[in-house]
Amino acid sequence: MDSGRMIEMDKKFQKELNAGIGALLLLSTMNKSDKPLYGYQIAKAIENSSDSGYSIKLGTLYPVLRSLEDNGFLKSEVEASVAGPPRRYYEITAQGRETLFRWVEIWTQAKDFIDKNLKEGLK
Amino acid sequence: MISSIKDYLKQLDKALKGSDRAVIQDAIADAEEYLNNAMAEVKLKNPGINEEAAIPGILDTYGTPVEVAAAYRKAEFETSTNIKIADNTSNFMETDNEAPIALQPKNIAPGKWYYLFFKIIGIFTVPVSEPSFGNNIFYMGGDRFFTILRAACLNYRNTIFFPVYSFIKGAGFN
Repeated sequence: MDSGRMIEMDKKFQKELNAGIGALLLLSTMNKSDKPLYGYQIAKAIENSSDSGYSIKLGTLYPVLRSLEDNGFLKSEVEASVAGPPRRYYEITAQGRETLFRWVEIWTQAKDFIDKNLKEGLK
Repeated sequence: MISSIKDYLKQLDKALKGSDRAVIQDAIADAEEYLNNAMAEVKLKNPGINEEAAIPGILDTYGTPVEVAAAYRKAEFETSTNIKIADNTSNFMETDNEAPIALQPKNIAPGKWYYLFFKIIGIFTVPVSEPSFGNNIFYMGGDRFFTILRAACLNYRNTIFFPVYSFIKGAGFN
């Protein structure tokens, strides 16, 4: 396989992986924050937490943010900004917090399962 | 080659062609918010840098128009699928934040234009004698009125258009 194809396959794998974890990352980020955050602040918080070189395209998180709000996991309010257009500030709801804890359990189970498999597979 | 935020927004709009108008507006607004903030930050850190030089680094983090458009299309598909499932499951299925599906604006007789009429009247006259369905978006009590009015005042594009747009979007008229 040529290197171009390899990079393409790696990107595809990472994209598929990210598709599932975006909502979990967003809920976790919002749960950590003690104040409402607007989109750019949320994206930066996620970007800054990545010190392992692992990256996620921040633009793909915005629709997930809106979808979490549609499902009642986040709530938002539009507020005026001195530096430009109004900003939508998001905050986690009680339902969002409960969901986060459930999803963390599911994530931990999946991670343990994959880790165990990888460990055995790489022997 | 994308050389400015304006270019990016044009390409994103193009990549979302065929999607719901509200989805396209959301995607453009989100991208505008991120890119403008990121650009301001880059310029603060590197005084003198021009937009063309700064944009590749910003887009590397944000995603290409095609990648971002794909994420919005996916969310749009999931939302429409959920609505279909809800419709098929129960006409009175309730969620925490919404009116029962059967009482949601687009599902109520005598038709959307009737409600659009009341909604537009409601923007300018409060309170109104509009049919109310409890917690649904057609309730035009004082709070709702001021929410819409505030959104209209905050909106930087067009103070008249925005409340009408938000209603149309909320009621599924697009």
